[in-house]
Amino acid sequence: MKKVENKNILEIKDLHTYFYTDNGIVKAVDGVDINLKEGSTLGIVGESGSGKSVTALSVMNLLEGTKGKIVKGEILLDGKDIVNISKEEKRKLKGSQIGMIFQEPMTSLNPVLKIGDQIMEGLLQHSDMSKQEAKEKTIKILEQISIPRADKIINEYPFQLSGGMRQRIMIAMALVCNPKILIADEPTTALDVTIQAQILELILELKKIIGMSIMFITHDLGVVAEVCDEVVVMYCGRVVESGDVFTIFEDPQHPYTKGLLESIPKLGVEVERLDSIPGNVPNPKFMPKGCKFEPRCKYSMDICKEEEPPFFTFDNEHKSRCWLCKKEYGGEL
Amino acid sequence: MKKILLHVEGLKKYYPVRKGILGSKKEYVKAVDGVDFDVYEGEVIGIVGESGCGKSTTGMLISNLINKTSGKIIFDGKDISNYDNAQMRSVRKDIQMIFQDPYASLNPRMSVREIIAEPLKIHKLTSGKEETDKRVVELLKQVGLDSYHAPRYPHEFSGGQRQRIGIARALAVEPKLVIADEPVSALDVSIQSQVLNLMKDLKEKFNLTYIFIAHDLSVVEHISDRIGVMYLGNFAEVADKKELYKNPLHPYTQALLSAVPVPDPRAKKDRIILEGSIPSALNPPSGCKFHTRCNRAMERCKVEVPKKTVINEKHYVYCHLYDEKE
Ligand SMILES: Nc1ncnc2c1ncn2[C@@H]1O[C@H](COP(=O)(O)OP(=O)(O)OP(=O)(O)O)[C@@H](O)[C@H]1O
Ligand SMILES: Nc1ncnc2c1ncn2[C@@H]1O[C@H](COP(=O)(O)OP(=O)(O)OP(=O)(O)O)[C@@H](O)[C@H]1O
Ligand SMILES: [Mg+2]
Ligand SMILES: [Mg+2]
Repeated sequence: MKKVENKNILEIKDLHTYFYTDNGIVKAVDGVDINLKEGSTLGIVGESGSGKSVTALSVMNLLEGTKGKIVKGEILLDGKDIVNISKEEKRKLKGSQIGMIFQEPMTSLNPVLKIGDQIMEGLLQHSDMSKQEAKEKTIKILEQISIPRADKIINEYPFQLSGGMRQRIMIAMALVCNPKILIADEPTTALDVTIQAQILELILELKKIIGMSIMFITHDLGVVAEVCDEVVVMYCGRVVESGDVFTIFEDPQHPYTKGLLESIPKLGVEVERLDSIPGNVPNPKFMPKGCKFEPRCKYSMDICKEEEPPFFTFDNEHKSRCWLCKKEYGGEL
Repeated sequence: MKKILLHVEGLKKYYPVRKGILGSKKEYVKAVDGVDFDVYEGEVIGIVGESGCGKSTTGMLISNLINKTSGKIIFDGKDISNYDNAQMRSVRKDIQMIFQDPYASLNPRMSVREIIAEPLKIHKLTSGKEETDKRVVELLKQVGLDSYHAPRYPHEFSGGQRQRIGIARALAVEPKLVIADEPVSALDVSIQSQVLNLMKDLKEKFNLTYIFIAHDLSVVEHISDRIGVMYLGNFAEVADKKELYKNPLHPYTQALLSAVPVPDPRAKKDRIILEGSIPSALNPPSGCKFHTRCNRAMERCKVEVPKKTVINEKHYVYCHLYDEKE
C-alpha cells in the first residue's frame, strides 16, 4: 500500500512571541517552526519554560490581556493566516475549529459558573442545539471521561472538584464541539494512569472518527511513546529536534533530547539518584551567543560557543539543531 | 522501632452538597471515608489512587487547612485533632503543603520574592532584608530558578516554574512533615530528577518526612519507602515499595500498575481494563467499594466491608481475597 502524504493542517512558521514586562523582554518563543499533519498526533516535549504553552497560546490567539505579542512569524490553518484576521473570525475559530485543553484548569475555568453551563456554552454557541439537547450531550461526554455523578456535577462549581476532575472538565470543553485540531497542554498530568488510559483512548477514537489532528504537549514521555506519531523537542524558545516518534526515542540527534531520555525514571529499576542534565537554562540577560544548550552540553565544541546551529536534516524528515550533525563535525551525535 | 511522626485514625471528610431543586435537602460527598495510617519519622510514604479518591483532601485535613468531619490526628506526639487556630500556629511551621494546583495557591499580587520571604518572616527564620533576600535566591536556585525570577509575578511563569515556586516556599521553613501533592507533575523529566534528588537530599540532611501524592508510579517508586493505594475515600493496600511493585495484591493496585505507559514506542501493552463506570462518592457501593469494577469480585464483596488483612509487617490489604482464613 502506498503511504499517502498528509497535508499540513497547521503550520507555524518562524514564530516569535515576546513578553514586554517591567523587568525586560522575555523571548518566550524565539523562532519556532512546527508542522501538524492532518490526522496525526504531534507531541511537543521540552524543558519547563521553553515556550511550549506560549506557542499554543499564540495559535489560540490568547495573548490578549498579557504583555505578550507575536512579533514575527506566521500561523497558517489549512493554508490560511490566522494571526491577522478580525476578532469575529478569531472567535469562530476557537472552539469549533481548534479546541484547547489548558495546562492549569483553574486558569481557564470560571470559578463562579456551574460546570454544566461552562461546557454547554461552547455547544450552544457553535451549534443549533436546544438547551435540553446540549445538556444531554454534556452529561454524555462527562460519562465518557469517567466523571462520576455526572448529572449532579453539572450543577457544581470548579472548587468542588478534585484536580483531576477539573482537568477532565477542560477536556470535555475542548472535545464537545468536535474540533478539527486539538491542542492539549499537559492534559493528563493530574490523572491516575487508569483514567489517563481511558482518556487517551477516547481522544484517539475521536481522532479516527472525526479525523482530528492533535498537538500534544506533555512531559510524560511514556504517553508520547504511546500516542504520538511525531515529536518536536523544544529548548529555550526554539525547536531543537523533530522527527517521527521511533526515531526520536531510538536515535536522538540532539544532546538535549538524549539527556531528557536518559532522565526518565524507570519503573522497577532502583537507583540512588536520578540522572538529570547538569546545569540550568541560561539567564535571558546573558543568553549564549551560539547554541543555547552549549553551557550544559557535554559535547560542546568551539563553534558551539560562537554560532547558533541551523537545522541539519536526516532521513524521514528527522532534523536536529546541533553542530555535531554537520558532516565536518562527524555528521551525527 | 522507628518513631511515629503522624498517626491518623478514622479520618473522615464529608462535603455537603445540596440536593433537589430548592436545595433544601443535603447529601454528602464522602471524599475521605475512614482512613487509618501511620507515618514514621524520616520516611517517605507515597499515596497513589484514582483521580477524585480523596488524596488532596487527606493532605489538607492533615495540614488542618479544612475541617474534618471526624477522626483523630496525632502529630509528633500531640493530639492536634481539635486544635483551634491559635493552637495550630505552633505546628503550622512543621507541617507544610505543596499544593497540586500552583496557579491557585500562589497569591497573584505578590512577587515571587515576597511569596517565599513571607514564611521566612512569619517564622522568624531570617533577620533583615538582606539575609531574607539572600535566602530567597538560594531557595530559588535549589529548584532550578535563577535569581532574575525573584521580582516577577506568578502569572509570568510557565506551569512548571510555578510548581517549583510552590516547592521552594514549602521547603523554606524547614518543616518536619511535607505533604507534597503532585509536586513534580508539571516538570520535564530532567528538572523532575533534579527536584526529586533535592527532596531526597533535604530529607537526609534535615531528617524530613514526606507524604508524597502523585500519579506517576515510577516517580513514586523512586522517592518512597512505602506506598499506599487509595480508592474512593479509603486505602486499598499499603506496602513497602518493592513489595508493592513485585507483589501487588489488591485487584485495583494490579490494574493501576498494568496501566503505566512505557516510554518505548514499540512496547506491547497488556492492560487490565477496569470495567464499569466510576462510582460516585455520594453513594459509594456497599461492601467493598471496588466490587462494581473488580474482575475478581465475589458475592460477599457486595455486602461485607473488607477489613485490614496483614500480609506481613509492612504489607496490608483491604480485600476479601486474602482474609479467607478468618
Ligand atoms: N504572561 C507572561 N509574562 C511574562 N513571561 C511569561 C508569561 N507567560 C510565560 N512567560 C515566560 O515565557 C517562557 C515560556 O513559558 P511557557 O509557559 O511557554 O513554558 P512551557 O514550555 O509551557 O513550560 P512548562 O513545561 O513549565 O509548562 C517562560 O520563561 C515564562 O516565564
Ligand atoms: N470543596 C469541596 N466541596 C465539595 N466536594 C469536594 C470539595 N473538594 C473536593 N470535593 C470532592 O471530594 C472528592 C475527593 O477530592 P480530592 O481532591 O481529595 O481528590 P484527589 O484524590 O486529590 O483527586 P485528584 O487525583 O484528581 O487530584 C471528589 O469527589 C471531589 O469532588
Ligand atoms: Mg506549559
Ligand atoms: Mg488531588
